[in-house]
Amino acid sequence: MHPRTATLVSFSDAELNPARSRRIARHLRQCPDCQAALERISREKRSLSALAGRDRPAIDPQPSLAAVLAGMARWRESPAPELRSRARAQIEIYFGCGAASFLESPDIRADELLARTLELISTFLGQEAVEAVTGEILRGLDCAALTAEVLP
Amino acid sequence: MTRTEDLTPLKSAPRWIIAVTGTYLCLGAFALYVWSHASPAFSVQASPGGAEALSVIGMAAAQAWFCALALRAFEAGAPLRRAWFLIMLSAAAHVAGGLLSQTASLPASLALGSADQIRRIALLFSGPLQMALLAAGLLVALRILWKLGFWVRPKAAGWALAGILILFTLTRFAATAAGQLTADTAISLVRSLLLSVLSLEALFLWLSAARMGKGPIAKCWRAFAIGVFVIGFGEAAVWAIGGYVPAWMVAALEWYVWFPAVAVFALAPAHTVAAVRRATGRASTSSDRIPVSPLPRAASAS
Repeated sequence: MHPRTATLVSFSDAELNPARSRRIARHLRQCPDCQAALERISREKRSLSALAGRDRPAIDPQPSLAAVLAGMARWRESPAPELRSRARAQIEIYFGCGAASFLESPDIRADELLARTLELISTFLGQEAVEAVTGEILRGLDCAALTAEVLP
Repeated sequence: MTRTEDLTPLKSAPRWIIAVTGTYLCLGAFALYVWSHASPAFSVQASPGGAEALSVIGMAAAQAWFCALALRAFEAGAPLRRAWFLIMLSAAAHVAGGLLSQTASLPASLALGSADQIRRIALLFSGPLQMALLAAGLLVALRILWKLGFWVRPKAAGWALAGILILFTLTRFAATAAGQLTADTAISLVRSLLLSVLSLEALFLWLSAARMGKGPIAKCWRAFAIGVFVIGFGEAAVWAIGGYVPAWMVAALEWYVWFPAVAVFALAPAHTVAAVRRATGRASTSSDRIPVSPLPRAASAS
């Protein structure tokens, strides 16, 4: 089943959750129609950005589909989204959904989110809880890759 | 989390407090109902004037204990440690005041001093001193919440709610001040002013905690706000109907204000203690715990 156009737009904006993103990327590899649709979406977005004068050449002025897919693959393998979702889960457990939404602004980096999470835990639950929660968040993640990625 | 973990005493402390309070209030209502129907058959020795019920003192002691446990989670210099310390002192002042008020009712041969003096000191402890310490503790907590960004501007309904409480306390203040100023009235005046301050703090605390959501930490700070609202509205109700109902009913109503209020105050630190136990307990039982702080100075990014 082909993904809807809105889903492809979210995919190209990296707004989907990791599992869904993986499914879409898998489908894109096998479906020329959807590849064409994604390319069209990318083209239209570039045109709109250019019209609005908000093009951001620093990222990639004209990414090919291959580049988009490669980017997605790198993003899939990255531990940062997992780190982000784990930090959010911890905030939801101890504070609530409101605090999690409040902390997670759209442009916040994973390491910033982790730092803010630990700051909240430290303030309201103490240092021992910070150590425990840090362990809980980072358990099983590739810390070397994570450090390289989120701590430039 | 397993069911066994849920039943560990400190993690389930909030549920125990709610269960005990609910049961006790139901039993109290039943006893009141039975007494009101059977009063001609036997007389009831009411508690001596001004003495606090042992149940209230017991619940205040539980609050002090939970505050002490919460305090232990924070290292020296931690911002919230001061708040918990002040709130713990406030609960301790309530316990001390309650116990003193009980000793005031002892026979003269056993009493530590004149009953009036002891009763006044007890009033001072469980009134202005307790409220001042609580207000100071909540102010520290509020400042921390605001510093972390949980500031919420009250809407009209919030201002109206706090306004009603402040209006009541100021009206009572004016009514008391109009009479002859004695030690008792002075204590009552200070208490009224502090209740106004606490009402405002409770409003801001409620809004900040509501913004967080429904986690145990949000529940903790919301519980303090509820406790203050119960005292404020309860006392307003007692004051408003005081002249129209028998004295025993006023005494019963006061008990129904103070016991739930103190229970809610005990619930607040219990939520924090349960959350701390949940966090630290879970890690200590994990076999694959990874070393702490693999992200150096993560907090500095904020």
